[in-house]
Amino acid sequence: MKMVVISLIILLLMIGIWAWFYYGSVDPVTTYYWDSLIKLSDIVRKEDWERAKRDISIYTDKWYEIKKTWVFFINQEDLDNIDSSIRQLNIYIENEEKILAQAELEHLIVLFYVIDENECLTIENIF
Amino acid sequence: MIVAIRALILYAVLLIAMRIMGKGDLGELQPFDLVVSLVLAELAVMPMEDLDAPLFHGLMATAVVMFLQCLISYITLKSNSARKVICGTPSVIYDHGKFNIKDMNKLRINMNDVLGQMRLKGYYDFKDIDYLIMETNGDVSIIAPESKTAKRIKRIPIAVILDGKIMYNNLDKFDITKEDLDKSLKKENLRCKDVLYGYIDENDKFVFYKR
Repeated sequence: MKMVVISLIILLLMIGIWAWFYYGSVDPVTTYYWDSLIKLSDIVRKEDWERAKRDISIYTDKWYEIKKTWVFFINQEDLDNIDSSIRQLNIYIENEEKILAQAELEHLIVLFYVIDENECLTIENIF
Repeated sequence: MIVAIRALILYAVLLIAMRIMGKGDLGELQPFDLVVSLVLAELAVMPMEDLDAPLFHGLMATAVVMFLQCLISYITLKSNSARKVICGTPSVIYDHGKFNIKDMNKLRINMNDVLGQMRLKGYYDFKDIDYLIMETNGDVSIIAPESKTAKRIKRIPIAVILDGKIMYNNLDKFDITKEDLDKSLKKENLRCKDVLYGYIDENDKFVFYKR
């Protein structure tokens, strides 16, 4: 019985860590990025480049902070894809490339969506 | 270097998991335990090799398997019927000149397998053995007299009480009445739940071992 209790405690601890990570980080962060990137897309469409440069700089800094925790739970390939997409977006906005920036923004939204979809507890993910 | 550190961490986790699950020797494992060991090994190898996969995935899966294994072990320890379903029951394949074809078919073993197992145990003739039993861990037990002149075993003990629970299927199978069992328990001043193992020996006498 003692071992059942010990293994149950370990399992509950792991589930607790996952729940803390998903509900405390993945869910709010992906929602934040969806909203922010949609807003940024509007700013890019209006070609307000000064504001776009300021905003992307904030989102980039925030992403590198978030990545420090996500690296323990999310597949490295997914994180690398976001890294690469953010770097490209920075360059497009810096060079005021409207169409390329808009396309990369859509790509980045999809990458965050994929992470949320993959981590979410759904029947589709289980099977 | 990263692989080495990840391997070290996973090795430590596996070691703890195996200790918590209380593994015996590989040869003594039930088929179910063997499957769990293989699953654990696979779970450890995946994050060890794939540097893109976070360690957490491997640790979570190990924790789930470890908990289920501990739970199943506890249930099989406490419940005879669960033990029967999960571990199965030993099958008497050969009993004093008679083969149990029904169980042999059920276990999908043929005469060549039986003869091979006999040779491995150092027996070459069925006349030399009394019983050949296929255990739940896949091993074969042979009950035989120590020498040709030694006394032959008439019958293996029939378990009537295991872990304080009456084995009603054995009572029915061997025509043992509950009244006879109760009488013997009363004579020994025992209650059923006090008995760890009770059986009828080859001389039809009840023998009880207390907890």
